[in-house]
Amino acid sequence: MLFRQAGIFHTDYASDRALFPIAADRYMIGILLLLGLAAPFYMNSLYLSSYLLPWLVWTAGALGLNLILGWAGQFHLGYAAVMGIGAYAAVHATRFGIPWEIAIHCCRIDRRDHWNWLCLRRPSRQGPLPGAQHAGPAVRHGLDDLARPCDQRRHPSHIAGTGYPVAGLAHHVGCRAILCCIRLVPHGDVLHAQSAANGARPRPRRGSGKGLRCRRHRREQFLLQAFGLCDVVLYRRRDRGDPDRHLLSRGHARTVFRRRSRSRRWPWSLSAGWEVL
Amino acid sequence: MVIVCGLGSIIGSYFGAAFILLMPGVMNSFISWAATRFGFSLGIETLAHLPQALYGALIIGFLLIEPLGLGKIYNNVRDYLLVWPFGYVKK
Repeated sequence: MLFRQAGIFHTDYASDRALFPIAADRYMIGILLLLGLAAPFYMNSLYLSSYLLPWLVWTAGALGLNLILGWAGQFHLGYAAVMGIGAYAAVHATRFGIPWEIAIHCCRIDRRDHWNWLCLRRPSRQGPLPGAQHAGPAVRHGLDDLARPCDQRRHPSHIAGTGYPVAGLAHHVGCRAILCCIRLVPHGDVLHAQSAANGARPRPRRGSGKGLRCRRHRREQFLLQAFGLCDVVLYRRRDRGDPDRHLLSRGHARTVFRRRSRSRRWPWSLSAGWEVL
Repeated sequence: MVIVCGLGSIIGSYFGAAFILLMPGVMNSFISWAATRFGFSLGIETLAHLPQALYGALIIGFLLIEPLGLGKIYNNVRDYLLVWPFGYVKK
């Protein structure tokens, strides 16, 4: 039958661990890819613009939500806030006459924590809303702004007017997909932690090439904050004796536990982000 | 869309988006076909709002009957076909 497994012998680890070990899956993906690429040639433009393109765009949105709600396993209302902030920034950039392709990048330039990182400062842990300090910096920034009166907001463009939030949404979805691919593929087992997004670095182990590791952590933090993946940090979980074991050292675990217990009191978050997958 | 497609499923996202995209048109055609076939007349407002109501009912139905959505239905079919016709083989 289609997905027949009989007669398929995986005699080496590479074929056994292949992404699509069953041939039918590979054929189906190849055929669908070819059909999609050839769609402009055999499909009416009306169907192309009213069915195929919306289908793909909506699928990208569903995949982005799935990354957070499904695989990452957390339900975080701040996620929508971050998307909204970026989307409105992109909309108003477009209304100023900036080309759409450039304007969608404004949604990440707009973040205060992005500039914080560029200035090599840790983002402030103080927030006017109770509990907001437990959120990622980008979420905290959005909540800070929303908590102020309208005329005192640092970025009134975030909330004024309506427009085309799909631009920001698409950008965020794409960036999230890229980031999760970067993090998921080489790292295997994952553990949620928020420390990098909050600006807290893991303490390097003595004599363990700490400079390199700190730079790596800085880079990850920059990626996370720049692209807005503020709450999901996927860490390696390794065995004893691994050079990166300090990521799950006793102090780190204590921090995670303490924050987990705190985050339960945060009313805006139904986050399960502290749970170990 | 995520509820219908199923959490944590890539192919379910494609199914869910297609389902939500095509559902209103298909439902409108179905309702107008049923109206002519069974000879009842529906007001324009009813025709406009009925797909919305059915959309809500679909979400509730998916949550009740198949919480893992279309992705899980696809996986069920795929799991069945993996060992077809030997359904008793442990998957």
